[in-house]
Amino acid sequence: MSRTERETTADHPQFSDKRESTARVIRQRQLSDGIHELVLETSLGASAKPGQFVNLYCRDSARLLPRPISICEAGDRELTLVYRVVGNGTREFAALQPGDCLRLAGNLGNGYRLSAAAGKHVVIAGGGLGIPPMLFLARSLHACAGEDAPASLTVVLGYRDADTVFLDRAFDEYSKVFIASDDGSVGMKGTALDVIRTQGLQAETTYVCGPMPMLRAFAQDSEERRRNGKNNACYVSLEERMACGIGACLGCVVKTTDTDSHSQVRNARICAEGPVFDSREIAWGEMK
Amino acid sequence: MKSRMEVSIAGVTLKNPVMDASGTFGNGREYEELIGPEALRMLGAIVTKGVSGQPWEGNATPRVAETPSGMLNAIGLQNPGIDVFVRRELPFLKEVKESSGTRVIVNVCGHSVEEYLSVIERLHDEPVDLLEINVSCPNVKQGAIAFGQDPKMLERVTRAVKDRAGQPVMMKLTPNVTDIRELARAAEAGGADAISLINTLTGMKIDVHRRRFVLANRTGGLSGPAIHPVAVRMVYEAAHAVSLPVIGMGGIQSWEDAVEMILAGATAVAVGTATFHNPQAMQQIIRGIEEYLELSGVADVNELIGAVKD
Ligand SMILES: Cc1cc2nc3c(=O)[nH]c(=O)nc-3n(C[C@H](O)[C@H](O)[C@H](O)COP(=O)(O)OP(=O)(O)OC[C@H]3O[C@@H](n4cnc5c(N)ncnc54)[C@H](O)[C@@H]3O)c2cc1C
Ligand SMILES: Cc1cc2nc3c(=O)[nH]c(=O)nc-3n(C[C@H](O)[C@H](O)[C@H](O)COP(=O)(O)O)c2cc1C
Ligand code: FES
Repeated sequence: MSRTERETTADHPQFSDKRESTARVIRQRQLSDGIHELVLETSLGASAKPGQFVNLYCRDSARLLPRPISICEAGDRELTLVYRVVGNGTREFAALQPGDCLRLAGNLGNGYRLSAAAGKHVVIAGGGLGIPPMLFLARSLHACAGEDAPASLTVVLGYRDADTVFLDRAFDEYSKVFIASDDGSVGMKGTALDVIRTQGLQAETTYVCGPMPMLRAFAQDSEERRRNGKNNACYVSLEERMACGIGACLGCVVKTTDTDSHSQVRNARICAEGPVFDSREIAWGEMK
Repeated sequence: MKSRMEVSIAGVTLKNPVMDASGTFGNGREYEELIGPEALRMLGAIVTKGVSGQPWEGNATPRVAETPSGMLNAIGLQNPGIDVFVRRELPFLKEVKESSGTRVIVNVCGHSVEEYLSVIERLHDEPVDLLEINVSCPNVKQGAIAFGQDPKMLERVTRAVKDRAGQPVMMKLTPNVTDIRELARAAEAGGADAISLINTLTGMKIDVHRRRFVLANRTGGLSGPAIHPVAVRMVYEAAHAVSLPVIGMGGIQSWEDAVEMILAGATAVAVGTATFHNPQAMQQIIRGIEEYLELSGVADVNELIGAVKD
C-alpha cells in the first residue's frame, strides 16, 4: 500500500475533530506498581478511535512539551488513559485527584484500520505499556457485526513478569486471551509471538502495540507469512519523541520504505500519518 | 482608521505585531485544525516552515528533547522542497491572506547561495509578502559553517538574495556568534530590508543512565522560555546597531514577554516553542498586548518600539 492511498486527517481536515480543551478528572487509581488508570470527563471520548492518542499538558510550565498518551477506552463523555510513571510529567499526572482539571489536546493520530479485520482471523498483541490502547481496539472489533466482523479474535498480552501485570482480565469479555511473560512467572514463558506460534493461532490480520523489538518481530513474522504465500497484514503502533503532536514540527518521524506523499522524502510523521502503520510501510532496517 | 496594533516591516503592514516562529507552526494548516480558522486568522502574519530548493530529509530521530523551560531540536530542516510547497501549501496561505489580511512570510533555507536563489525566484509571482532567509544553514561548499556565522559570507548572501528577490528580504540571524551587532550590520550592508532574531542556541543533552546523546544529531537548537533573556539582550543590541526593523523572538510565551521584546527594539515578535505548550499562546498574546495598550493609555504600539529607559 502506498502512502498516497492512506488517509491522514491532516490531508482531510473535514474529518478531523482535533481540539484543545480542559477535562475534569473523574477518578484515578493504581492498577499495579507505577501504572495508573486515569478517567477523564471530556467530550473527546465521543469521537475517539482506537489507536489514537491525546496530548496531556503539564501544569508546571517548565515542562513545556505535552505528553502523548494512548486512549485506552472511550465513552460518550469520558476517556480512560493508562500510563506508567516514568518521569516528572507522569508523576504530576499521578497526583491528580477527582475534580481536578487537566488541559489536553485530542484526538490525535490516525488510529487502527478496523476494516482490515473484516472476515479475517485477527490477533491483537499488546506488550507492556502497549496493552492499554488494545482494550479499546478489542471492544471495537468485538462490536463489529455482519460483514465487518472478524472471523475470529484472539488477544495476546505480553508482560515482563507477574509483578508488572495490569489490565489482564479486562479483555475477557471480548475475546479469548493468552498471556505471556519474559520469565514465565505469569502465563506462558516467552514472547507474544512465541504464544502465537506454539498455540498455532491463525493470524491473518495482526494489530500490535508494544516495545520496538516486539513490533519488529511481528513485522518480520508477517513478512515471512506473506513470503510463504499466506494472506497476512500487520499493523503496528509506533512511538517517538514529540513536540507538537499534530504534524507541524516534524519532530516525530519514522523512516518509510517509499517516499511519503506529505514529506516528499522517506519520512512519515508518527503523530499524523501514524501512530499506526502497515508494517510494510516501515523501513525496519534503518531503525535502531 | 489605523488600528493601534498595526506595525509596518519594510513597507508591509501587519494588522498586529504577532506571528509564529518558523518551524514551530507547520504551514498554518496543521494548527488550524487544532485552534480553528478564526484563531489562525487573528495572526499578524504566518511564517512558514523553512523551504529549500529540493526536498530535504532532515536528521535521524530522536529529533526533539525537553529541557528545563525549553527544548532542543535537531529537525534538520526537513521540508518537501519549493515545488510541492508552492503547489500544496501556498494556496491555503493565499486564502488566509485574502480572507483576513494575515500576511504570508516564507522562510527560506539552502545549502548554497544557488539553492536560496532557486527558492526565492520561484516565489516571484506568488502571494508572498516577505521572505525570511534562514542563514543558520550550513554552507556545504565552505566547510559547513553556517552562512550567518561569518559577516562577510552573510553580507554576500544577503546581497545575492536581495538582487533577485521579488519581495522584501528579512535576514534571520543566528545567536551562535560572538557579536550579534557585527552580523546585524553585515545584513544591513548587504541590503537587507529587515532582520529577525534569534534562531536557536546550539546545545547538547546527554542521558546519564545510558551515557548516550539524547538527540541522534548530538547537538540541537535550544528554544523556549529558557532563552528569552538572551534573546532580549540580542534584539536590543541588534536593534541599536542598525536602522532596520527587527522581528524579535526567542522564548516568548506571554504578552509581557512580547512587550519586553518590543521595548528592547523589536517592531514585531514571533512565538515558537510556546505554541507547543499552549496552542493559543499567540492569540492570548495579541489580546494581552491590546489590553496593555488600553490600560496604560498608549495610543499606538509603535510608541513602544525601543522605548526602554535607563
Ligand atoms: C503515541 C504515543 C502513545 C503513548 N501512549 C502511552 C500510554 O498509553 N501509556 C504510557 O504509559 N505511555 C505512553 N507513551 C509514552 C509517554 O508519552 C511517556 O512515557 C511520557 O511522555 C513520559 O513523560 P514524563 O514527563 O513522565 O517522562 P520524562 O522522561 O521526564 O519526559 C521527558 C520528555 O521525554 C518525552 N518522553 C519520555 N518518554 C517517552 C516515550 N516513551 N515516548 C515519547 N516521548 C517520551 C516526554 O514526553 C517529555 O517530553 C506514549 C507515547 C507516544 C509517542
Ligand atoms: C521544532 C523547531 C523547528 C524550527 N525550524 C526552523 C526553521 O525551519 N527555520 C528557521 O528559521 N527557524 C526554525 N526554528 C527556530 C524558531 O523559528 C525560533 O527562531 C526559535 O525557536 C526561537 O524562538 P522560540 O523560543 O519562541 O521557539 C525552529 C525551532 C523549533 C523549536
Ligand atoms: S510531534 Fe510534531 S510533527 Fe509529530
